[in-house]
Amino acid sequence: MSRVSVPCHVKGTVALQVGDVRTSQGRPGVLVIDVTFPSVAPFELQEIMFKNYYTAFLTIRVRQHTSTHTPAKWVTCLRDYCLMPDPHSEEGAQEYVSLFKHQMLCDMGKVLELRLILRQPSPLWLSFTVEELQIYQQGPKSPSMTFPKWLSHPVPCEQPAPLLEVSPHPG
Amino acid sequence: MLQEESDLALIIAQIVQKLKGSTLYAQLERQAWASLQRPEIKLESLKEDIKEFFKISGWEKKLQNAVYSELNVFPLPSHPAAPPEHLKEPLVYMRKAQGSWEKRILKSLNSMCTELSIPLARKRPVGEQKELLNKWNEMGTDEPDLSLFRPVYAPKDFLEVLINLRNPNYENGDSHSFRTHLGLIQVPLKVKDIPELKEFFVELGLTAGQLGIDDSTQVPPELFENEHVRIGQKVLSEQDSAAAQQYIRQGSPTALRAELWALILNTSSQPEVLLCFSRDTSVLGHFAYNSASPPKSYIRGKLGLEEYAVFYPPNGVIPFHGFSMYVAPLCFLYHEPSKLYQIFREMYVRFFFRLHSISSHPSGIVSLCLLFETLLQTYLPQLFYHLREIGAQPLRISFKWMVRAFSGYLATDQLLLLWDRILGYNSLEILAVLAAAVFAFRAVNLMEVTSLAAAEAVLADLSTLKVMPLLQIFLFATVT
Repeated sequence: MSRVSVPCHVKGTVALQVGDVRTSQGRPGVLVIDVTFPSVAPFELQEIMFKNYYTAFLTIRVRQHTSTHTPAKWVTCLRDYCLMPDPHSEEGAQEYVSLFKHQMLCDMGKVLELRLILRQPSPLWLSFTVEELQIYQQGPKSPSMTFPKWLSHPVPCEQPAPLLEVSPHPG
Repeated sequence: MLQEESDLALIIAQIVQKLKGSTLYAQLERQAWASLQRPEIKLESLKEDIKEFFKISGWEKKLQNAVYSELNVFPLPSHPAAPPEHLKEPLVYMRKAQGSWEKRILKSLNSMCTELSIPLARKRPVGEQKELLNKWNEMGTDEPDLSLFRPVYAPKDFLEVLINLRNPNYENGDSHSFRTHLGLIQVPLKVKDIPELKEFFVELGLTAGQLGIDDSTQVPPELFENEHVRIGQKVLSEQDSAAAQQYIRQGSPTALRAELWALILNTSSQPEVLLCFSRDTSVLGHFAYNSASPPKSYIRGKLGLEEYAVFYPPNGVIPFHGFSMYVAPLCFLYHEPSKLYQIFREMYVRFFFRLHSISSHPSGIVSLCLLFETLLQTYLPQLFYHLREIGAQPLRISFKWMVRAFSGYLATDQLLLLWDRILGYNSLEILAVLAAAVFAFRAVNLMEVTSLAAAEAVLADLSTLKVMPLLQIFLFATVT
């Protein structure tokens, strides 16, 4: 299935913290990243791809275009997706991740804006984020391929028919 | 579900790609063409008939073994966006540490060569070539003068590098808090705890028979040994790699071991030209999943020009002091040089390379060290604390055992029983568990020592130890 990258604008990370940021001792465990699409019409989201950097859990909220004149509301489309099975250890900390439309809790037909909520409950890490964020919508459909019947059922003839190699393509 | 299906399709595609370049593929193709002569192969049902022929003639089994072998060795397919260095090692700071370590070794190697005025690689002069041809069969007995050469590095140097490994994003405070590790390794890799190890090594449990325990003279062979040998012979006659790997978890009978290891490692039965390990360029293939990279050297005067780059040594592996200990035990099993070499090479590219490169892999030396220290701290906290207090960090003693996979420290029959399990579980974690079990065994003596030297003395001689009872007691019979 082909996909097309959607140009996006990733706003600066905002830390959610209780109390005064300057005086509090601990590090924030929740960060919010807003992703807007300034030059693109509302699109159908196919895939979100990024490189993790020590984020343990990811929640994504989406704001979609509505046909009526009611203001678009934020809806949670991914809740507490686990990126690091053990937040205190390195497993999954720097992995490349892809999230697809079928994993989302709601339809992603007319996306206006995304909000990524990153959580890292472990105090062991100095910072956490997601990097190399890319958003994809569905590309033009690839030309359908039908295989001639004779490839799987060779007709009797002098020479055996050549067997075409078909490698399975990933979904 | 869709994700799993596409993952599976990707794995299949990768394995097919890998096997296409192998001799097995060429053999299967030849066999398929040759089979067309056979009367039972009909053109209307060509595909099914050839598949049936492969099944009956045993070629399907060979293909199954090859696929199983690939699944064991090759890491799971990574994300399509991940660059090749990510496949070698996903954590950036570990990659950097491995890179620095490699630079250090190369510098040491180069400076030694400069000191002794010996080029790393040169074409052998004609006179020497003739001499070598005459003595080809007696190579092992003719040793050049090596007295001026120092080992490139010793395991101790490598341990120092591992001790200094730090994740820049980790809270490495100076003050001791719950964040600092009490052992020498300071990186937070995920290691298994005893409940997870019990599940992983379930066949070593108290209710399963083991070679190394239940074949001792006091135990009547009818209880376990005879049946186990019979099953082993059946596994060999079926030539099933996966079954052999499962079987060997309970140990291999001495008479069947050579064949079983060859089956599990899927070495070919073709007699290969005996290649000296350091010149075997096929070993370069394992660098795709090894965090290390082969050192590159440039032809004199062409520094930096890729066309003049060569890997040195040709196989990309710089040996360290004690490297030959990986081979020595195999000499007890294989007398034919080409078979011995194949087995050693397979063992190296599957397991042993992880013992001297810096990576986050669960069987890598860093994880093994951390697993050892964590097991000791958790289940023998008094002993751990005592040894720390007297300046005898336990890892300083056990590191040399693990880095050599216990070769040279255990009695040979015990070592082979241990290496049976490495093959059976496709993991080196058992080395860390055994190291902890040895400390547990000698805990009483160790609690009485007051210096590192005395602790070393208590643990100097492992040649009388029986590995399987130690492992079983530590994992399954200790009150936790």
